[in-house]
Formats: sequence, C-alpha cells, structure tokens
Amino acid sequence: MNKKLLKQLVLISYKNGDLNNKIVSKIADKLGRNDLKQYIKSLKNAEKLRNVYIESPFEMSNNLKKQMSDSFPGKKIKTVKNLSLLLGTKVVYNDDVFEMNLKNSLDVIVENIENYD
Amino acid sequence: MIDSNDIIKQLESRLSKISQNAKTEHVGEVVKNSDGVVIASGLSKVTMGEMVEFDNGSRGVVFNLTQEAVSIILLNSKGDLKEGDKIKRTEELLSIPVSEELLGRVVDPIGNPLDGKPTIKKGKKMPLEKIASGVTARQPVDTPLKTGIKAIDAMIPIGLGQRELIIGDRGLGKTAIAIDSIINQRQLQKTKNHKQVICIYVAIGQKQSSISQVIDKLKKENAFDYTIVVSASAADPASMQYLAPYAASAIGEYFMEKGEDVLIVYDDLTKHAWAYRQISLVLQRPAGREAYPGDIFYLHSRLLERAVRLNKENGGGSITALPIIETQANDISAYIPTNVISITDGQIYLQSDLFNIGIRPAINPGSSVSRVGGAAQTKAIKSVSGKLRLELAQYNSLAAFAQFGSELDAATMQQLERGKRSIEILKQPQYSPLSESLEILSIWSVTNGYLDEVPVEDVSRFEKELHDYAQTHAKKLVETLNSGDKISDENLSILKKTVEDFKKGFKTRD
Repeated sequence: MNKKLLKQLVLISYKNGDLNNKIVSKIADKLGRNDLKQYIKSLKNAEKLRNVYIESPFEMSNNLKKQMSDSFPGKKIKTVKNLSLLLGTKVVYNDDVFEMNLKNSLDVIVENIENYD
Repeated sequence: MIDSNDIIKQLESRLSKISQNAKTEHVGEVVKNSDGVVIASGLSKVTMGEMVEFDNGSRGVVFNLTQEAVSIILLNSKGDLKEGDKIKRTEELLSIPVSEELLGRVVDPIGNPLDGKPTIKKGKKMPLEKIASGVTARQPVDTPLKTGIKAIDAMIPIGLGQRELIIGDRGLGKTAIAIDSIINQRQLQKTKNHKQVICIYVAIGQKQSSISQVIDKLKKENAFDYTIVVSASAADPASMQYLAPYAASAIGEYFMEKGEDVLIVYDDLTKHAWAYRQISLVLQRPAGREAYPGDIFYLHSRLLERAVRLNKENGGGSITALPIIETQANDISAYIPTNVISITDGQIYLQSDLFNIGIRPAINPGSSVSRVGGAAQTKAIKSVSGKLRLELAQYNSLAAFAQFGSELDAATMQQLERGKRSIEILKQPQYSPLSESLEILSIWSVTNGYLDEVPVEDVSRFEKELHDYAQTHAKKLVETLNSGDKISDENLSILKKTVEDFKKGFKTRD
C-alpha cells in the first residue's frame, strides 16, 4: 500500500474529530497482514498528533480544562490523574514532554547531588 | 569543623544554580530490537550521532534517521529492552571523557574502565566523530618517529603525523612491529630534548587473551605509563568495535591539542570493517562489493585523516597512525587492503615466504614504501641508509638471475654475498628496538664491507658484540649518533676506527 492511500485511510477513519470504531473495523477487515501493520502504526501516529495528555495529581476543574484546551487549539485534551507528580503538571504532546511538577524538580535536585564532585 | 551555616550557604548556592524552569524532553518508543539495533518511533528532533538513553539505563547512538523511524545502535545493553520502552534524548553527541588520568589505563570506547580501577570522572569531553584539521592548520611531515626497527627506520621511515599501514597475513608479526614502536618511545625518553610520545593501542575485535598479552608485554617493558589501551574485543558488540578507533582518535586529539605527539595503533581495521558491515546489514543499508556498504571507504578515510601534524600556530602537536590490515594468502589487492593502502602514506608489507625462511621482521622491502621518504629521517640515518636500499635492490635482481647461471664473475659474487649479509643484519628479534646510534652502527658496517668476510651465520653475533663494544669503548660516539645530526668527518673516522678495532678482536666460529 502506498503512503498516499494510507494517509487517506487514516483520514476517513475519523468522524467528527474522533476515531470511529466501525470505520476502523471495516478497513481492518479488508487489509492484509502487512498493510494492517502499517495502518495501525499510522493510526497511532495520528492519535499522537491529535491528542494532548495533561497529567496532574488532582482532578482538574472544568474551568482549568477549558483554559488548557484554549492553549492547544485544534487538539483534543485528555486529562490523566497522576499522584506521583505531587504538585504541578506534565504535558505530553506527540514526542514532546513538558515537566512542570514537584516530582521533576526533586529529580533534578537528586541528579545534581548524585553528580556532585 | 564546618559551621552549619556554611553548609546551608553552600547548599543554597548550589540549589540556586539548578534550573527550575519547566523541563522539556523529546521522547521516543522502542518499536523493534534486533541484533543490537533498536528501531524507534518518535524522537522527531533527534540528531544524527546523538546519544540517547533508554528507560532501563542502556545507552545508544542514533545511526539512521528516516521520516518514520530512528535506528539506534546499542552501546551497553542493560537487561532486555522491549517494545514500547521509552527513549530519551540526551542532546549530546557521542563523546569520551579524556584527561591525563587515562595514561596507563584500559578503557572501552565510551570511557568505561576495563582494568578494575576507578572511573575517570573528570576530563574534557571529546567527540568521537570530528572533522579532521584543515590544510591551513597542518605542516609537512618532517620529524621522524623512530620505531627502533632497523629495516623500518632505514628504508621505510615514519614521520610524526604520518599514516603508515602495516599489512600482512595473520601471524607474521604485524602487532609485534606496532608494539616495538610503542616500546621504543620509552627508550627515546632517555635521549636529550626528546618529548615523550603518548601511545594509544586500539584493539578491535581481538581475542581477550591477545589483548591481555599485549598489555602484559607493555607493562613488562615499562611502556604502559605512557600508553592507553582502548579495547573492543571479539566479545563486545559490533557497535563498540565500530566506535573503538574513533574513541582512540578523540583521545589522541585531546593530547595533540595540548601540543603533544601521539602514536595510535589501530589493530586491526579489517575487523573494524567487518563490524561496520555487520551493523550496516542489520540496518538494511544497501550492500555493495563483498557485502560492505557503499561508504566503507569513507569509514576509514575520515578516521585516518585525523592523523595530522599541526603547525606551531595550532600547538604543534601530532597524531601518527599505524593502522593494521590482515590479508588472506598475501593478497593485498582485496577490497579493504586496497582501500586503506590508497588512504595511507605508505605501507609496511609483511610476507609469509620471508617469515618462513627466517627473515624477521618479514618486511618485503620491494612492496613496502613510505611516501614521506627521507623527509622523515634524521641526517645521520639518511646518510647510511641510501646505500643499503640500493644494495638490497641489486641483490634481489641478481639473486633471481644467479639461480640459472653456475659461473658468476667476482663482482656479481661480491654483490650477492653483500646482499646476504645486508638481509641478515636487518633481522631483529621481537621486542628489542634499537637506538638510532646502534642502527647506524649496524647498517654502516654492512654497507661499508666490514661484514664481507664474516660468515652469514655469525652476522647477528657480530652485530650484538659490536653494539656492546661500541657502548663501552665509544660512548661519546654512540651519544653523538643518537642526536641524529649529520655524521661529521671526525665522527666518521671514530666510527671507522671503532668498527675496525672491534673486528680485529672478533672471532668467527670456524
């Protein structure tokens, strides 16, 4: 399967900005093993580009969620509760990770102490 | 006793240096792990040659960048990596920490100690891959690097900053020549105004027992204090074997930048090419002749171009390279040998037939060459070696001819006899490099006919006893000849008298 066709299949797999289960199943049924592998890989990549994961140790209020989604126009915001962060947030978009939390600050301090000569 | 306030102040000052800004990371995921090569997704901003770190602490280097995936060669795999494991960028190109502490140590290509001693923490980070110094920073090769091997110093001289290939079949003494050259640098310490040459021995894809033998020999000969061993044995992954010579170059460049002279022995580049071929095949790069990838020439040319003699404005340091290539059945026209021959400034060709008839080092003077030539010789040795080369060439052409004719004229017979003695005098036992003065003494004696009446089987004894005699009866002459200056008429007459006096007392076996 060529790249152009693959791109088109990924595009039609979305309905109203969401991945449509029915369409994906329909496409998957008709693909061979190798093509299916490529299709799944492309879907995963597309998902990574559409979603922004925001991790926080607390439940985020609707107001905060709205503020966040305004910061990432055109992207779908997914919130994840992560107690290990202690304070602050962690934002994951595609292969970029932004750490703005207490856990990370403590990790940085520990790393500096460990590497102290 | 330290005041608690001081401790708090120190801590505060250190904490203030720690960045509290939001940390940004670029991460990826393991998609596939096969034969020491990891295929990863993500890492969209990673650069070629950058070091990356895996979740389990393993490290790797980015080797291939495509639109969809990144290929990483693993350096030190700690435990099993599995699909989905996170990979972090380090934003650092592959480098090795180098300092004077490395002298007398055995390390792997990323600087981890292999000798059980502590890790080298402090040091300048030197990149493994670096573009070689440009033409304007260089100066011509005109200072000799003495190997202590008569045949090489007289006929195939090596200069500081030169790249001289040692090529031959297995078991002919290629490593021995390189080790002798390293040992000889200790001997040169004793001579006045001589700067210590720092030596680096790179073992690529060798048996660990062989590497340990080399280290033992260097230690026994007190040559380990100024030597660094970079080891990537046959048991190490291909990635480490591929990186080893570049690590040695990086270490050499550190010392060169400080104005030091460095000698690097790459033992051997055939196995280095094999390691690179293995990596390339796993990475599915297109294979060419003998399944080597298309850039196999560049692999060695970019490495050996880093051997250089810098001019005074750039510190005046140098890196001399002695790459070793192993041939199969004396075939120097194979792919890798021809590549490296064309890159280097000459080659020392060791031949099995010569080795089998007892000529050791088994150097073939006809096929061996130094493209730097006399420029890398002192005036003293240059004045005696020219005649030797000519006589050997005449002997070789006559020897072939003499096999067919039974009656030869006196002049031809004399040339043949002289040739036999010249070959005999160039024989030298392993690990016994000679000083320049003793080399001159031997070569001068044979080329001036003082050995013509000595039976061939007594030549080596004659030489040894002559050296002992000169070192006790003509100490001043030995010291003067070591300086490398042109042999004055006065010294020439002393030399003549010394050899004549010795010859009077020399008794042949019959």
